[in-house]
Amino acid sequence: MKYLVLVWAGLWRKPARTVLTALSVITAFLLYGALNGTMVSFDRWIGQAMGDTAVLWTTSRVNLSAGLPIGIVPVIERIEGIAAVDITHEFNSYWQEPENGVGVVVIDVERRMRHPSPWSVVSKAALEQMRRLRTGTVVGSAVMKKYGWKIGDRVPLTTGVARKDRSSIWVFDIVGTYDAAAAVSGADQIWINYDYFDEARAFGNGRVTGMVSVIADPSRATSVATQIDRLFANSPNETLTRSLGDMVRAELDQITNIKLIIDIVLSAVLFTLLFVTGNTMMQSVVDRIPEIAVLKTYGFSDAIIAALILSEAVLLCVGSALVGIALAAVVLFPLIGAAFRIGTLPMAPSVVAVGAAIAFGLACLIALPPVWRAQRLNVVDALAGR
Amino acid sequence: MSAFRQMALVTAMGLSTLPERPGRASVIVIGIAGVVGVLVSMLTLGASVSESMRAAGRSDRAIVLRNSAEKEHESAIFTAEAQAIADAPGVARTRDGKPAASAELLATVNLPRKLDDVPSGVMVRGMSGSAATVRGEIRVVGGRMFAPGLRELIVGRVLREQFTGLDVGSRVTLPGGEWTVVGTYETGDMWESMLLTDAKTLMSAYHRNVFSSVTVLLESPAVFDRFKAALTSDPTLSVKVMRESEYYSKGSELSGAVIILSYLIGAIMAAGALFGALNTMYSSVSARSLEIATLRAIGFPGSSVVVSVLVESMLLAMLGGLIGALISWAVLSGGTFSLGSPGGSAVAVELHVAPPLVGIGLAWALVMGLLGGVLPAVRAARLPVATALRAS
Repeated sequence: MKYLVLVWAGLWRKPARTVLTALSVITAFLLYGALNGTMVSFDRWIGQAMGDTAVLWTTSRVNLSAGLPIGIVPVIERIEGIAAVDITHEFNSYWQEPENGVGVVVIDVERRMRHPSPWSVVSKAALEQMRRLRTGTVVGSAVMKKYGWKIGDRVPLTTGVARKDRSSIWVFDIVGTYDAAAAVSGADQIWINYDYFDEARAFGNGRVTGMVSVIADPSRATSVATQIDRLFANSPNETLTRSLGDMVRAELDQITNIKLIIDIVLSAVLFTLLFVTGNTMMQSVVDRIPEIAVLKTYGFSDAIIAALILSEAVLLCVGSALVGIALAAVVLFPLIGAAFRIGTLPMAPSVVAVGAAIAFGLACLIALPPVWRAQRLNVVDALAGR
Repeated sequence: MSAFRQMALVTAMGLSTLPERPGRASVIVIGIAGVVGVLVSMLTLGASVSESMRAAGRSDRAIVLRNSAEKEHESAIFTAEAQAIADAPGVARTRDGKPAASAELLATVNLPRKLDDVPSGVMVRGMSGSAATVRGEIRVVGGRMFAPGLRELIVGRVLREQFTGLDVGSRVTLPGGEWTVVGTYETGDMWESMLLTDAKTLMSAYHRNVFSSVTVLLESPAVFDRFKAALTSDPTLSVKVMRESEYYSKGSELSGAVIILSYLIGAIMAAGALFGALNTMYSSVSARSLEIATLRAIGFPGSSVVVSVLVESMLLAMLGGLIGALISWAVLSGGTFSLGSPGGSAVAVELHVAPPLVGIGLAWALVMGLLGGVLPAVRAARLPVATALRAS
């Protein structure tokens, strides 16, 4: 306890200096928390939101945009362990003005009725209506609300998909609505009939982005995925089968090596910090040389003095680092969450732990030169102020 | 003695004592070097991408898309439409009298990046008609040009540096089979991040019967309006006509995001470095308190002390800024970088640390030096002379 008092007193010997140093450590770890924290939390979020291992996504190995022929659906269906297969094909559209975006999901109603996608809540009756009316659409509740649409409305949507008649405007009749159970594939989309869509579109006929397979035993996901891909290896339509989470991660990974850039930025930040804080710490010990000499005269051992200096550095660095990471979680995470429209993510405990460990390592490095200096102190000279 | 001379004297005196406190001075220099280095580097990544896109657009070329499409990826032009576009007034002619127009298909293939082996989308562009006249800037620098009808590709120089398996003679898997890389080309802009081939051959591989876009070479930039009017007034066409320079000036959304992120990270880092600078300048002032008090006692005004502290911190900041910019130049210049987009394709570019970006970095350094110096300078000027003299 008495040592804690000493450490505390040492820390506040020059309050302005300590506060400024603490602020620069806080800033550095705010950046660490924001950059690394977002990466880790976002990855965890993908894992949780899309981690349904019972669903496998099969797309073209060449590129998502290359598409796969719808004819391979029955082939996949025959694979043992697969409970149901559905097609997946989406494109963007807008209603009246380009800023009124509506996501369009092309579904095969028959298959969807047999095995509704686990994350969306839609009534069988609505799908039945859609099956009866080729131009029918089931609209997400969020879209209905946003544009004030009603069941029975006929809505023209401008799309990037050209029709055989050279128009890019598609007209659909609203026959029902659905609610989304999860954040993924939210209620901000509409579902349309594959048969109608495929017949009217100008190109890409008979091809869709991919297939979604629901497997009976999630623990066999990897082996089923391999089995699907092996089936189409060396064919004109080589496939790539994975979980939704893995697919989304792979798409995000394409941006650039963000992890590398973040690591380089954070190394630069930490190196700079090491230098700034190290210098301040050294200065603060130099200022207190006579006091350290007094402690030595009283019989404090070198080890205890080293421990005092080290504790001061650890308290300053780790304390400030935790404040910085907390600020990132409380202030920056809601902003980042809002920007990506995924809500506020929790800060991953591993990020806090690694941050504290980095701060501890930093403190040890910083304390090294002052400790060394204090050890070599000549008490007589120091007391004389030489 | 004039006020200016007084300031100069005090400043020179303050600076002359700098070598006695190298540790503290280097805190400012290194802190700010870190900030400016990171800021300039990140801005360079973003700017190189948008700059290389801008460079690809020429005002005497026009690009025609489907009217509902914003980008080539989502556009479709029917064969009959492509013919009508090529025949429109204002389109330049090749030497043998054909319209200088190229109907093109833009497709994407995943290839592993050299950096981390992550498969990333890469543009494959099929060209047709008089592409050689329309795109005179394409120079084959290794191997040879692709032959239409054969499954052959030529690869942009920067793309080849960023992705694996694109050397001449390598094979690339597209839908329906393997294609051979037969040459390397240069354009000096964003077009170097593509694989080029013949449109018809690519269309059959990707099961497409429509083009993505048509690009034409105009007789002169001035005829654009006439060309556009002719196409948009044609009731059988529903297309969007843009100057190529306008199309590419939008840049990529991602490079815009990278630039915003650079400023955000730069600002947070700057705040951290600022606290370091304040610390240094406060301790520098307290180390010099005897000297400052003496000057004040013999009649130097507070203002000259303020100026001397400010000049010191700004000079150190400037030095830091220069070192940071130099490091960023040394590390990045001549390197290549690729920026992709989820579900899209990568733009691979050569990096150039542009002087305006270095200017922005140095301006940040100066502002940080100024902010870091102001409060300590005011404290120095307010130093109670008698106390400071007695204290020592």
